[in-house]
Amino acid sequence: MSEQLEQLRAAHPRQVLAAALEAAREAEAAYRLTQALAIQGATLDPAAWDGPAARLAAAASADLLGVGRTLADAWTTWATRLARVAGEVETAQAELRQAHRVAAAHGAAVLPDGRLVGPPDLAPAAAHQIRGILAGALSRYAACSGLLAAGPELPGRRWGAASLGFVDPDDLGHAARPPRPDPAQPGTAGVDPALPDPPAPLPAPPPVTPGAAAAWWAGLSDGARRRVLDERPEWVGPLDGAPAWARDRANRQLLERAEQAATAELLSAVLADPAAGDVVGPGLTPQPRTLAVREAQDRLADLAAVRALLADASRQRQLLVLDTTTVPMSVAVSTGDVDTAGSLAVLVPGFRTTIRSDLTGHDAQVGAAVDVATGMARAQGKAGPVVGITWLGYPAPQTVEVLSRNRTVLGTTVAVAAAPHLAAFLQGLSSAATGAGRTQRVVLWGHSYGSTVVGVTLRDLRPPVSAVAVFGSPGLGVRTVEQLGLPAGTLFVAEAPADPVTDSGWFGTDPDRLRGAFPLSTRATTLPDGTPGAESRWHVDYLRPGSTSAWNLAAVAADTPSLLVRGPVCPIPVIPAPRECAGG
Amino acid sequence: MRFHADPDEIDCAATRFTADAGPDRDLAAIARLAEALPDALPGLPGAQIAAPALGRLATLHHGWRAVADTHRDGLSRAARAYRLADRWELPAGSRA
Repeated sequence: MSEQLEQLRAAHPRQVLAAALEAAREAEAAYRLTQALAIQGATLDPAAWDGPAARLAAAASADLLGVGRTLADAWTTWATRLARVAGEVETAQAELRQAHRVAAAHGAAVLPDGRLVGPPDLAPAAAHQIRGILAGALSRYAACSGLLAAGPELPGRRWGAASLGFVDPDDLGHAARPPRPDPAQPGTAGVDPALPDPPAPLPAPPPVTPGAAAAWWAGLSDGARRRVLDERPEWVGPLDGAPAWARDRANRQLLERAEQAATAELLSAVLADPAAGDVVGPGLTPQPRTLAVREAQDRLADLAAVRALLADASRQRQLLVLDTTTVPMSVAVSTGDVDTAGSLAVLVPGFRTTIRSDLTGHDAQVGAAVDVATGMARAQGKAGPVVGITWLGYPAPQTVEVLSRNRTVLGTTVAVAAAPHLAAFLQGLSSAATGAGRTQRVVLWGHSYGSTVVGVTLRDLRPPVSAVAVFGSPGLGVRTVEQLGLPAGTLFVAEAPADPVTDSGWFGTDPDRLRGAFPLSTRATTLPDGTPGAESRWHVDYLRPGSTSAWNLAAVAADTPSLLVRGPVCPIPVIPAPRECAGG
Repeated sequence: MRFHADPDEIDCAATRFTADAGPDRDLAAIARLAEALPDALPGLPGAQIAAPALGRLATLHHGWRAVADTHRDGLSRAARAYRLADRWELPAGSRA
């Protein structure tokens, strides 16, 4: 015990932490370079460069990308393990100090060789406690060796580094690997069973327009699809027009990478923090001292919210969008299988929405509403279930941005910027359904500023939409329903009592005064199925389960007009008096 | 042998790669910290294993970055070659 105690005392966890943070910086650099390679691959499409040299360059780029990801993952794993070791050693040293304090409190002492000396009346229980603390500290320290010796778990044969000529995958790790099969052994016939069948050739990158993307996907063989999903998830995850199951699979891979990158970024930001030495404790828990640290923590919190929602097994979910290149990141999650849905209800939320604080709540309310809608649709013989999608695909304006000219909730700049993304997403849903030979109804639910995003998108870009319901809306950026390009009778408006936003008419005509819009009740009443519908009040109560407004939104999604509960009709003014109808 | 090339696009990809990739890093720092691990964690056999593994990872990272830079330079050279080929109207097969 004497030597072990001396070694624990002599350990320098801060040096280990410094190595962890440096490894995190390398991980960040590797991720950045890998990202640059991915962008380069996407930039150099065959329309710009094609031929033998282009194919060689593309192969080299793909090899570099594969190696880079492996390196980045290895650095991240090292950073994480070293940081954990640093924390464990600090804790073990703290336990050692605690053993000395407890001994002193009983008039005893722990000698350098670990022996406990004390007064004759030292209670056996106290001696036992002190020896237990010492043993625990030494055990904790010894366990660190295993953490370091395990090394990073590196992916094996996924990369194609042959053209690079400088790296052997086995060189990247030191951990004990399972022995390679001996080709001379009977039964193997010289074939390494770890090697998969020869892969299908990697196709050219997908086109960007949803219709062409759907055709690109439809044209791939099963083998090519597998290879694309395994090796280029960044092609498929954001690909409007690809089927939902493929986007979900790709985006879940991208989520894992994003979590690793965000972890490395946080570690790096902590190191760059001038007060890093004070804020990084044994558990590596940084306090938000700098903007970079706060941003990295926010990013991790957003990713954690997505991960937690996907981990909830109460219903099937698909991660349709995960774009971590934007700040804040963009996310869209469904409440079921989009590919087999008869109708889709896409919620576009509004002011102050963030992933970390709102994704779970929106998903729960959307899920409850589409469950009601599915029941309505089934009762009336409509096709397929109704599936909801919470679309956080644009950076919703925040309170602190009210005075920002480009980000304020009081202007349409954010909505105009969001419109192409929403339109492409909706077009992608339509193209994917068409490509699979299905017809699918898509309904938009726009809440608050999200309704303005919906209005501007319809006004400017005319995405394929069957119906639109807006609630708590400050306006759609139009003066007439016709400007939205919707079929007659497909715009629905809900306004709750005491919702201060709804009558502002801030962006164009107040929606409930648009001629042709159907008013949805938000009052307490008996619903068509005989159950009581609760009143919605204020600005954020429209999708509350059991409310009349949630029932009505479900009926819009289910395309069951006979189940709608009509609200009060507002008098249409002779001369609309829009506050703003920004066109750009 | 069919091919086509837009030198500007290739050049743009190379230039953007340089901007996106950021400056090269000095991997000596992590190598030094790795070498010091056995002293920082006396008596732990795992530290003796981790130190050279981290050093080799740094070496591989350096090599990978160098190959990536060579790849980028190759793209720039390809763009220049295509421009020359266009100017001199070389036969297609000589500039694929």
